[in-house]
Amino acid sequence: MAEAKKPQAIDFDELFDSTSSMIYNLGMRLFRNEEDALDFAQDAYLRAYDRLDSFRGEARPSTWLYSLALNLGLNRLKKMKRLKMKELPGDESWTIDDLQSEEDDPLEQLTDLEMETIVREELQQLPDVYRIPLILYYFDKLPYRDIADRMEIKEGTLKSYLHRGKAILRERLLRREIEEV
Amino acid sequence: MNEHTHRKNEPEILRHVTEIYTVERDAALSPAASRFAETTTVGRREARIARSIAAGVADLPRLSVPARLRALVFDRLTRPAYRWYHIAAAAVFAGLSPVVLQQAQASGLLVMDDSMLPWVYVSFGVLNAMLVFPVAFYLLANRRRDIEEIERSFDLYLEHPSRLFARFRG
Repeated sequence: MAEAKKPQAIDFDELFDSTSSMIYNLGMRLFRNEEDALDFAQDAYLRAYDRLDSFRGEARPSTWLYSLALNLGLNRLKKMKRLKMKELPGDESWTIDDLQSEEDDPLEQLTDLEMETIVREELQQLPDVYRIPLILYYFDKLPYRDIADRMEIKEGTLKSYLHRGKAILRERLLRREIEEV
Repeated sequence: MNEHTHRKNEPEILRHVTEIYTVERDAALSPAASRFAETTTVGRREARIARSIAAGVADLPRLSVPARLRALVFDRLTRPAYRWYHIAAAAVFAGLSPVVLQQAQASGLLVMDDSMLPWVYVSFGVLNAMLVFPVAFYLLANRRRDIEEIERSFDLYLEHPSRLFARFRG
């Protein structure tokens, strides 16, 4: 049987080789386990293949694929009911409740690298509604508007979730250190 | 900073802390917030935590790709290249065959006795396969997303049957 031929400006084989790490790692960041990440990556490539005809060359193929895959991943998380986000009271402003009252620094014994390691460990424990915005903002370096559009939430809601996520990480960092001391 | 000063400066401190946590990625602190982050215990601590959060998330490890991903993708891409007119031709062929057979028999061109029945059954089986295969491959190739969506929804309902009834109740 013949293999389907598509008129394409992209060499799909080459695209796969140059982007498989990016797409698989995006899957691992979104879904946190290998099976779901592989399933996601497979689906992303198959969809990209289906849509090769619609690629207009306005962006680099890898950028086009990343965008398609990210939307696919976010939609899948929504369908799994892992991204149910509602408007939160408050914005990015910190309140006195967010901050510890004592003024000493319980983290001064830790190196920056140790703190970052704790952040990464605690990030994996965060609910997806806080974890995903933090990853898209700090790791993928997407602007607020882009993240909000992709997640289909208001920019203000996104900022509230980012703020909450950071506040939880901060609290856990301090708690971990206090527990370890 | 003693307790009295702390309370008096509370709104200002909160403003600086907010700035520390919000500008971490792409902007610089204002001079006042910068002074706060450098000269006070709270400011130093919060600036360090904000930096750790930003750096910790930005530096997530990159994992190596399992080798089977390539097979998972490319095995699915090898498929027959049926087009809509193949389906249409197969449908017309399968639809017309019984009519032609019936007409041939009625006009006396074809004389069918009982010994021919097994051949007729086999022929219709082949005709159906000729129609079913292209239709199935065509659907898999062109409507895969819809098929997978149905499959995923079905799996979800099997895992959580209550959601099916919730839809009807809703």
